[in-house]
Amino acid sequence: MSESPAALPPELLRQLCRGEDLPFTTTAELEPLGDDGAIGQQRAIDALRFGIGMTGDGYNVFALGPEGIGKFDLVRGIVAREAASRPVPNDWCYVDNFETPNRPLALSLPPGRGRTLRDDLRRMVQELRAALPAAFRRDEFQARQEEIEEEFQTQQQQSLHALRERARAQGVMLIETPTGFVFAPIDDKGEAINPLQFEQLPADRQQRIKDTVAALQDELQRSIKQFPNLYREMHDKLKALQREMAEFTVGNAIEAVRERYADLPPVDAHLQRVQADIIDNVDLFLPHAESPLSGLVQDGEKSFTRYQVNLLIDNGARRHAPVEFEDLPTHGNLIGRSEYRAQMGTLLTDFTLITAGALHRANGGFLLLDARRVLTQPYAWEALKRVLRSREIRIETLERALGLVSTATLEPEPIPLDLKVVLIGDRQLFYLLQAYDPDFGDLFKVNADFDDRVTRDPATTLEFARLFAAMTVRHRLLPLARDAVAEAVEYAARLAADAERLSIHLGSISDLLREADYLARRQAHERIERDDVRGAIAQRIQRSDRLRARSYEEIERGTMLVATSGSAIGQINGLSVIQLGNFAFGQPSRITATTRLGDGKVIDIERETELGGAFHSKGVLILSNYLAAQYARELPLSLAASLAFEQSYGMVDGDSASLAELCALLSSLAEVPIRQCLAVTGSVNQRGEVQAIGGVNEKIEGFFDVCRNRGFAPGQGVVIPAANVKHLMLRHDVVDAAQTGTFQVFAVATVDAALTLLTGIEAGSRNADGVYPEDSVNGRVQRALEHFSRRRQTFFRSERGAARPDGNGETPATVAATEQAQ
Amino acid sequence: MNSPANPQARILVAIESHLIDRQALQLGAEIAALWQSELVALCVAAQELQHSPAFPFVTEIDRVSAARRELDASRLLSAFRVWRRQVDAQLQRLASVHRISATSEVVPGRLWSDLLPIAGAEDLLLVTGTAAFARHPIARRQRRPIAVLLFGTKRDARVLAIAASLGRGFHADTVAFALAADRAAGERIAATLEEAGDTVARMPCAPGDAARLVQAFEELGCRWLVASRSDLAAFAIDPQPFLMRPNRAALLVP
Repeated sequence: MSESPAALPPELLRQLCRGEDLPFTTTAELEPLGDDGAIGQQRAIDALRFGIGMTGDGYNVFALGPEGIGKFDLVRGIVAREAASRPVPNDWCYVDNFETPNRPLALSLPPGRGRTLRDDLRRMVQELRAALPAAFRRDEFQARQEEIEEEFQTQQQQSLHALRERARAQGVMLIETPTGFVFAPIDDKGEAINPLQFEQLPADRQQRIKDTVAALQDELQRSIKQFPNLYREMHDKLKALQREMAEFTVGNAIEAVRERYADLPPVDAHLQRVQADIIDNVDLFLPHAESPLSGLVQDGEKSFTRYQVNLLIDNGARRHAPVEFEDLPTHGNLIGRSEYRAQMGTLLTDFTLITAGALHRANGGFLLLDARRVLTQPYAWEALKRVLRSREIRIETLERALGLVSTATLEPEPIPLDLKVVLIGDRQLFYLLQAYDPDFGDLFKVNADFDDRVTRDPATTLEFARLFAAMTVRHRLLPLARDAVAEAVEYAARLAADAERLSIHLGSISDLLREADYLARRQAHERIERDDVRGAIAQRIQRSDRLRARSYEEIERGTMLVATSGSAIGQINGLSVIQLGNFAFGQPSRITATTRLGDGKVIDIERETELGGAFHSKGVLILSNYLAAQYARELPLSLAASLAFEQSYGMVDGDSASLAELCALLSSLAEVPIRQCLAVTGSVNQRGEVQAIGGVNEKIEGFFDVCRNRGFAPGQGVVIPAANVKHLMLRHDVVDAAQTGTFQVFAVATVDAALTLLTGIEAGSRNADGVYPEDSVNGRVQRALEHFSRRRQTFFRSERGAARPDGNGETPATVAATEQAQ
Repeated sequence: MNSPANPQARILVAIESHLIDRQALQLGAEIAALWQSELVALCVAAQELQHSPAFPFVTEIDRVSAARRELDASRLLSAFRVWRRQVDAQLQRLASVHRISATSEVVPGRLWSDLLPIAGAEDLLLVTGTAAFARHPIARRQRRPIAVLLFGTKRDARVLAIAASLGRGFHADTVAFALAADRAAGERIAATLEEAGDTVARMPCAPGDAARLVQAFEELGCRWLVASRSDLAAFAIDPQPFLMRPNRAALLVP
């Protein structure tokens, strides 16, 4: 026998945290919870510590959990403490690779010495820019150079002079034109003769002159052809002289630098290459005549960049291993890039334009990344995986990686990678990556799974108080009075939608405290009081509840038909939850059911119109089977029923209305009216047990608000699953109403209990023969279904006979009346 | 010793047709700037070339490639025009850089013998040898002694003043070579040098030493020769061997 359940006592509607039970007056007395003192995250913390401590390929960490629970701060705190115990990694520099300038070389130096090397080389080049020209201006060098030049010029001049003298001796003059040489005959006085005079000379003399000229021309040609060789020889001698001087000058300058880096062979090797290159290109250091193109093309100043050191990573100021977080993890921001400078319409680059990425900065330490941001930046995820797989950072521009450009660009020497990456993201991302990215499991072998709730007990309550204390310190808030702490703890329980759990959504809690602090300061409070916390919660709701108010207004004005008093057959108040961003509210809806003779099918109008989701359809199918199993075990279920969420114009999903739908259906079959002062939520299984649903607090408060707006009437309340009682963290005004009996909450475990409560009639239990008491709700239902079955048999018999009564529109009442008449 | 503020009206730079003697013009421009004088480029065109294209056997040998080619009058004329344009362009640039006035003239004749009539009494004639080959002519002249030839004539004082002024401009010493034809000339030289005081080193020479002068210049490392052109002729001193050496120049007083 089902008894009507009693209303829940007020203390079950909101599990209070009593301020007087807390062992402090304000949070100022408490030791703030440390950065790594996360509440209820031991599993995640252990995993994180394992991941960052474990050596070996692929032991990177994915920290997963809901947004707003403080994952990032917690991860950063733990990683920072680990980093503090690790040594400072080396500096990294890029320098010119003189042999293949498009492949700059990477140099690793102990922390702080990268900067020293850069400054040493810059200073050395500056010194050489003064010392080399000075050396080349020295009289000794000038004298030796002039010697060589004079030797060449003298040889050239002597060659021409000798030829000129020989020509003159043979009666011919060597004349210079703007572009070359010609020979002309001369007279006995050495003066040139004109062509007319030449014609008057005897023929044999003319012929002799012609022969002489021809021979001299041959000789002149041979001499001139020797000039390039002479010039080359002079040039070689000058270069050798320059080299000798440069070696001496550069050697002195660079030796001092090399001594300082003798313990670093790669650096020493680079310094040797610098020395050789300066000697080979000593002209760079010597003054030149100004070119018309100076300033347009690469000028002398820029030529010295080849001796610069691009200090990519300077760890000189660090005290321990780095912890980097890249807020914008683009491809370039992760692995670095080569910048370009525009020159005469062309984009040029060199090793000095290489910039470090987050992986460079974090190398030797830890890199924290937001997984979603990495995945939404083009090719960033692929680049990160490639680096982790190859364990070296290879800077490659995106254009080049994609083959979009064919121009020559830099291929810097890869830098060895030694770091841990901690990706921070939500669970969905983690499971998607695990399912669809075959590399993910190999590269992120450790998952630190953060929870979003903890068990509520005195110990965690006290930890929460310490957490609040930490927040007040961090955000410079007023301390919380213990009543305020209690209110905030209750708020955390409400966030968790569970009286026995506390949400650790630190973002929401931190915001609440800051808003409460704002209100407290406006009230000139010296500490945050309970009313400040309540006010902050109320204002937060008020800021978001425009649509809720509009919805309730429509119910109040009768636009949305929701009865809160009286009774009706086949009609019940269901409850749904509408989620708008971070705000949810309960929405009462009228659910109606109609029944008639049919073939055992319950029509879910929401599903038929494709407005019902799969879970809702499942709930309807379950209640169909419940009907058959409960009332028509040995008879064909000859029922046609339909269920509808009235005035519902959007998607309906979830099975939390299945109890209400079943009660409406049974009310229709039994023709027993349902009390409209009650609203119902809960799902049912095939055995008639009522199961827990979500959003129970919002649903109760939703019906409460509608009732309050209309003015409370006797008997108003909400029927909820008994399994949801532990989730109740209702608003204070709802609890107060329960206290006075104005509004009540009933918990049911079975459909029968709900029926008894809703109809005021005993639901009824089957006797040994499987028959329900006649006047019980179940008895009436059973009788109606048996009648439908008989009528159906009659229908089929008569149809086979010929006559065919139309069963359409027959209700159990009309059928019963027909039977009585018969 | 005092030198006139603007002792020379013009600096005449003789350049041969075969060279766009940039270094000589550069040198002339700097000297013109030193004395705030006008620079005049004398483009010497060998007069023997005038008839050369008419010889039946004439062939030009290219200066750089040693290739042979026919020499006709029109091409020769064209080559001279191009050379003149190049000289003028360089003069304009030098005038702009040194803030001087610079012009050019074509002088048919020979480098050594036909320039003097063009020069006025206050002009200076700058003759260079193979200065065009020198890469740093100004720098190399620094601290190199300037040789000045004194003959005991009325031009000595000016010649010495010019040499001293040039020496100051180029931070060089002045070495006077005294060539006296007779006792009176010797006394006039002595008086001139006396007036110059210790700023001029003295290098007594006998007239018979004239042929060895060039060798003396070389031994002293002189780059510059300052002398009166007419006195050189009177004493049959030919500066050409000196000027044929690389990086040598002469300032000749008409």
